[in-house]
Amino acid sequence: MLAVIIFVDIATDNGGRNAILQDMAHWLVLIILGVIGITLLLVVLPYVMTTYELTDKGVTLNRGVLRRQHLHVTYARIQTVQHLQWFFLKPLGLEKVQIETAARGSGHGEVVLTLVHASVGTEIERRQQAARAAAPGAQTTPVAGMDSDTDIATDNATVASTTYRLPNEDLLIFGITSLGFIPLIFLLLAVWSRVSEWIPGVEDWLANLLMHLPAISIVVLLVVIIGLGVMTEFVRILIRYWGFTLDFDGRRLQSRKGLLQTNTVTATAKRIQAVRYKQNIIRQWLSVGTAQVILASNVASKEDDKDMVIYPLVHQDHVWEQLTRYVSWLPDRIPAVTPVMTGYWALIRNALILPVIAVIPCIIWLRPWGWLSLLLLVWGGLQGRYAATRRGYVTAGRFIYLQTGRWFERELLVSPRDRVQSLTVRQSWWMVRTGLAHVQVSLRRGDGEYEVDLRYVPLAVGEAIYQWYLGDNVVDVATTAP
Amino acid sequence: MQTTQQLPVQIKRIWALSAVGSLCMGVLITVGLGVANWLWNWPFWLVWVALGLTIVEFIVELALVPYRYRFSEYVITDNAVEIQSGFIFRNRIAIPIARIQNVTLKAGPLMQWQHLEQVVIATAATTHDIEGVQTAVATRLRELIMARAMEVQDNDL
Repeated sequence: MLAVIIFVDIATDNGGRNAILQDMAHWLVLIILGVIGITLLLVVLPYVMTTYELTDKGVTLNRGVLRRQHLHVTYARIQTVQHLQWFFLKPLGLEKVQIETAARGSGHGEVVLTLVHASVGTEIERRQQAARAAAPGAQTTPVAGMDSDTDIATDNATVASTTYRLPNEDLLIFGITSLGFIPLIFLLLAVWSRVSEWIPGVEDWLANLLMHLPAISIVVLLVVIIGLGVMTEFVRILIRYWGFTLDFDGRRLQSRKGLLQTNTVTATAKRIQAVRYKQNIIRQWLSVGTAQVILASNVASKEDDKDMVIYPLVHQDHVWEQLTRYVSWLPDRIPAVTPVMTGYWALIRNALILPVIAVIPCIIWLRPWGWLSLLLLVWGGLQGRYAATRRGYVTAGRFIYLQTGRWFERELLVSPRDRVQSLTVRQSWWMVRTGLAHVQVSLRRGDGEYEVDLRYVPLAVGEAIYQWYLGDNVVDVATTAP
Repeated sequence: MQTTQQLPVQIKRIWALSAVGSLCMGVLITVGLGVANWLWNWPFWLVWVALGLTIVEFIVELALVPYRYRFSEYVITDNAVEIQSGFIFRNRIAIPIARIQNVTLKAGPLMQWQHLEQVVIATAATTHDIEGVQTAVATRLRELIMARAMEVQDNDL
């Protein structure tokens, strides 16, 4: 879209009206031809040249136009199967199936069947289940001193299957309270500036209009713009999360949602690395938030935040007891998080660096509107302060709880020690004097890593968390920290 | 191997040589900017800036080598590998043996000349390295870590 807008911009930069129209006609024809050609080459041809086969042992996919690729995935190795179905394909029973294994670094999900009958996806899953049931179970034996996964294995045997459906009023609240309208408003402003250049005179006309209206109308106009942004975001969320359902059969979590395109994501409960509960500033005020799980597979890479959503909207008092149904290792009650009181100024200063870099040229070269950019400084300062006041941590038993704030959203991450891949305590040379350090927890997420940073904590706290991680003494950091 | 190990002394030579390498790169860039100034009239102050930065960077890197050496160490215990490195940006990393997926030994030409190897430890999320140890020590380390890692079957995600 943007490319077209920019493109038309360039096309209209050369002189008179008639010439513009002629050029435009020229260009339009070329563009249309180009688009058709590209579609044929990039979409239709690969589609025609791709074939698949469900053999006894696995799925074979043959694809590629110039370089032929033959991918083979055995049923037993399949970790997750994802189904995506557009609403107009429902009557035809066609969908897109994405298969993923435990192999790392494969980028776009290995075996992707772009358009197949729904029965194919079901058949693949059936064969996958059969292969797994037949295979000798890989039991993890607990080693003395190490955290074990055996409680997950036994718990799953006794859990009955559960289904959760997002109530409609929760979906509405979820849509209205999303802060996603802010980037939308920026986009609107960007589009507006392009439009006003393309249709000369619009800006002058608008300026005239505004000058003749009382100030209150400008306020009303602003409210209307914000309202438009909120409405767009609301509709987007509604379409995306329509009919959100979560099924759990003791081993696998399956979420289904979407109005125009139904997206089914299946994940194995065992691959859950950590649980996250996040609340933006509005939802915090309403005491609700979103619960997500961080997975070691790529199924959720297209989701918001790249993580699988378990409860789009859930009250903060009930979230943990409800999550224990799916994540058996979660404790029922979350201990209170110890807030971090150090490093406020450092964080505010860091948050102001980019705004300052943006503001200085604006003030020097873009008067008088440039002075408005000072608002960026206020924004940056508030962000920094928000991030500083939301930090918290606690280690209890074999779990670590980290609370951080970013972009006016607070999140609490819970992870067991045996899911944390490594822990780093970082201290820059100039931080030695102030006695502060950063603690970084590394988790596996999708195909790569996910790092949670607790910044500017006292070095003693960093040391304590470090020792907790090594497991020498399982002492609650919260009770021993000063 | 419960005690803290320092890196071998030869690593200081490698770091010093790497500083010289950056110096050469910086000089090349400066010369390049000078040529650009001569050919296409690029501003001359760029050359001064590049030269200044190169010299400052070289001096700082060279001066920091002993401090960096003093701060770098590693410990391999029964449960974990702990690595400490850096001087301006100091890191202390803990990697439990149970989280280690594999261990690789790497050595570029400079390291091979000094008979050193870099031990790269990979977890499911990240990789970390011990910057340089003698080849014999490196091989022994790798065997030790992998043996312990295989005892613990918790490596599955």
